[in-house]
Amino acid sequence: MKITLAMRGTMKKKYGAEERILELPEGSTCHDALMTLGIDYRDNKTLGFVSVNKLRVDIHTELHDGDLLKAFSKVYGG
Amino acid sequence: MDIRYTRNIGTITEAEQQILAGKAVCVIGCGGLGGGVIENLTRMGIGRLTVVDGDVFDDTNLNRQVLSNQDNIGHSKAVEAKLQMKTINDNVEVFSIQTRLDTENAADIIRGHDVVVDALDSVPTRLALEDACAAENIPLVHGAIDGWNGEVAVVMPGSQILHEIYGSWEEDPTVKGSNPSFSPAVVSAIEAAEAIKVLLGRECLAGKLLTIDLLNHEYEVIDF
Repeated sequence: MKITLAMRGTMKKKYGAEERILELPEGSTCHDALMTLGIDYRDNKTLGFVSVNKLRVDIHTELHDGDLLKAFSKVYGG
Repeated sequence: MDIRYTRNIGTITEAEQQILAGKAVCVIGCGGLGGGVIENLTRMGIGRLTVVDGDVFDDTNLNRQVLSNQDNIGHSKAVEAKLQMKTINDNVEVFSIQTRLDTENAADIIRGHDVVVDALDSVPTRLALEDACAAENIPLVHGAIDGWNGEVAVVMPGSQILHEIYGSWEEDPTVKGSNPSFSPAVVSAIEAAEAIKVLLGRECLAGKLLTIDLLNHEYEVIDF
């Protein structure tokens, strides 16, 4: 399946602003998509949350063909 | 109706203006976000405002915190907020609390308000505030900034948006936040608008997070 991955906020600065089309095996999750690009969110204090098709989802949510996955940075200042 | 509210009418009705005069809002934080929120709500004619901050102004606040100026460095942010709002609209009853909100005092501070506004710069305090608002059954308007980026959400009691976005929070001491003048101006204005909508029962960002990227002009609403 093919999905689109996009960074948002300061994730763009860290991992690139361009949208990527990823070819992933069926059953792949948001976690898998990020790891495919070497984005290990577990060691990463920048990632806040991910959304699929404008819905916030858990990082282990399964993706489907045509999904738009976005990774948003944490925003915490005031 | 007080003539000062004439230009509010059309955006809201005269009846809604009256409703605002009977409402109470608690703003937690009187810095970059809080200053803008407090001024907007004061000019809109909220009946009662409680402004909370344990900090004092310093020189690094001058680039963005609208309540700070070169003459009030070292002064309490909460007290300054009250003093300055009195010069703008003395119809508004303003109470200042000079303390840092924490898990112990949060419920007592927010109790009795119709809406609470998060204008904080601390994630652990935000999480404590979300818990307290849930326990007291009070809607919470969340806002945060980071450089060119910002976000706003309305957390209705029962939802846990802040725990969802900050749940895995770990302080990174190597990261110093960057906050220019315009990001808090934008986000605080949206927070004030959302607070007004909640108070008037209008459709708002309940259960949603508005993400703002002023550098690339990307604005998205994410469902939670």
